[in-house]
Amino acid sequence: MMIEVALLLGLTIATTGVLMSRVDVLLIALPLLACAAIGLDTKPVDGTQSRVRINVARRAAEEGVDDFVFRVDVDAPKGTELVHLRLTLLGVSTHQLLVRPDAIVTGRIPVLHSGPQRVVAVDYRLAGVDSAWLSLPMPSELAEQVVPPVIAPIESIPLPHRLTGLTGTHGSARPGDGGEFRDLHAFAAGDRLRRIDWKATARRSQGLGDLYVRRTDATSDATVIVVIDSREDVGERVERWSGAPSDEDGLRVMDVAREAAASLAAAAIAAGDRVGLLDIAAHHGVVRAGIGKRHLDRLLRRIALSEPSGTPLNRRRAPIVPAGAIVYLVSALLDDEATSVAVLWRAAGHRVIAVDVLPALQLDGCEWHSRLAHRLVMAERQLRLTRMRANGVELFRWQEDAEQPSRAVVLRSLARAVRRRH
Amino acid sequence: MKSSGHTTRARASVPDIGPSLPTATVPLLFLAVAATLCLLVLTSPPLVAIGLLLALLGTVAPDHVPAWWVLLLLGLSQLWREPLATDVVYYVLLAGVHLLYVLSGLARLLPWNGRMQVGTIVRPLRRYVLVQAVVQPVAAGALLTFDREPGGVTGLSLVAALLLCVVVVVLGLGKRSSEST
Repeated sequence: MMIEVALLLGLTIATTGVLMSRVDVLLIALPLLACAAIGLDTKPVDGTQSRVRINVARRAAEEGVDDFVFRVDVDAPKGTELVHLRLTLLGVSTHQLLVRPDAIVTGRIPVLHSGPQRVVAVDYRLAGVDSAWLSLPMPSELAEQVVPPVIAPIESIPLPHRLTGLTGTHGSARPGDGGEFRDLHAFAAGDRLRRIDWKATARRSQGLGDLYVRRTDATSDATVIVVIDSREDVGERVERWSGAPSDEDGLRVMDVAREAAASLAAAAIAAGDRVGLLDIAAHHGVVRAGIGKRHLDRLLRRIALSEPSGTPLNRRRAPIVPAGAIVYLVSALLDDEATSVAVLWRAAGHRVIAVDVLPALQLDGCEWHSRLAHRLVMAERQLRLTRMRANGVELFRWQEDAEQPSRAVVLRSLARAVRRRH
Repeated sequence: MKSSGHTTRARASVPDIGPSLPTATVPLLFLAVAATLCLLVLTSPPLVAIGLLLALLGTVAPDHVPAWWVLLLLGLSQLWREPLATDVVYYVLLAGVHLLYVLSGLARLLPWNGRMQVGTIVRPLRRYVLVQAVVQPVAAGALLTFDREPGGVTGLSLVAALLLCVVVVVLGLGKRSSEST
């Protein structure tokens, strides 16, 4: 386009110079016409391809916060003098850059959140000598990464009210093989001879025909269903709740939710339990209950990929979970959807533990109306939590704070509570 | 990212392109050069005012008032001046108009809030110096040759023909190189 401008300008000035018989005016057109000629000379032929390459790697930093390290380079056709790059980092922060075609753009982005991250998006266009020609904006190139959540160690994990499996690592209430000592019992038809306790028989038998056997508890596994609520992903700063997404630091609901879900799933798999996953906000977020390392990898991958979807799913009835399963509902509990589903599961006889993943909120910078709205939302939420507790749903916060200094202590007390009931 | 017990503080994530300048430098430089040339070259106050206004609009709103209006005004302003080989202002105008064209080409590429690699101005600057290294002596020679006969048709025709030859040769070379690739 600048070729046309240079030609038009040059020819206008030159023509005026000729018409006015002024060689000095004519000569002013000389550099402009030279620029037009060079621009035409270096214009690439049509159909020349260009492309941009983005490499993203994750690197552990010394201070404990990992970084994405990215590198962008452009394959530009011959004759390109400048490349206009528009880099969008993490979907929000945009950088306009003018670089040479052989330039390599690098950068580091701190990994602030878990889950799918649109690390770098690049839009670009090419320009010739003195912007003599400009390409159309090229289709955007995107580099994505999925950041796995942190897995917090859990020593004791609460179990369902009723263990249903035939073998496993947990002691069952019914007599069988593999568990701890249960009692001494008179020999009955079906008892194995090697179970006869001769010392107890000698001590206790009243007649010659009395035999006593040692009985043990059976072992069993539990079925754990981790339900993740990816409906909302608000951050710890209340002032940004109603704004556009930003590259804000600090925790977000989904960061805590992914961490809680992954930690619970890993702890349950480590205990030999069957673990399934359900996303109440999405159709596709179901992983059937299973055991083993490969199943854990599948669960962790699905948890890492969970993110708020455009249209949340409104359920008319609670999703079906296996009989006797314990349900961990990982949610910020900011609306009635998750609560009503939890109450339905509890009414069906499942043990339901709601894991509150709303991070400790910060009200800095909030105006009075935001503070008022926050108070209303929190009051409604408190009412919701009270109703859940009244319906038998147990509840604990994942994040440790002044209200709940130790998550491990809470989990231990929840685990003990069910052991007593067995 | 850390465990939920901690929060992290973001650090600035600015892409590294090596030594760089804010892109606002280019339009500001354009404005400075255009304003200086207007004050230096334009003689009448109304023309100076129009020139400054065009320079300002060409910098601030190049989509509505293209920068080449001020180039045209400055280029044609030489009509009101005497063609003297000893007139330094003429050589400044010759260099300035070319510089304004180069700067306007760069300025139209980027918004004001971007950054540009320092290397991006090296090639345009080198090319500018090369073109000026040819144009300035040619202009001096032409003025020295023809200022004794101002408006001499023969001399003017010779320069015009020379100019045309340069353009044709460059275009011909360009076409040949594009065909060979």
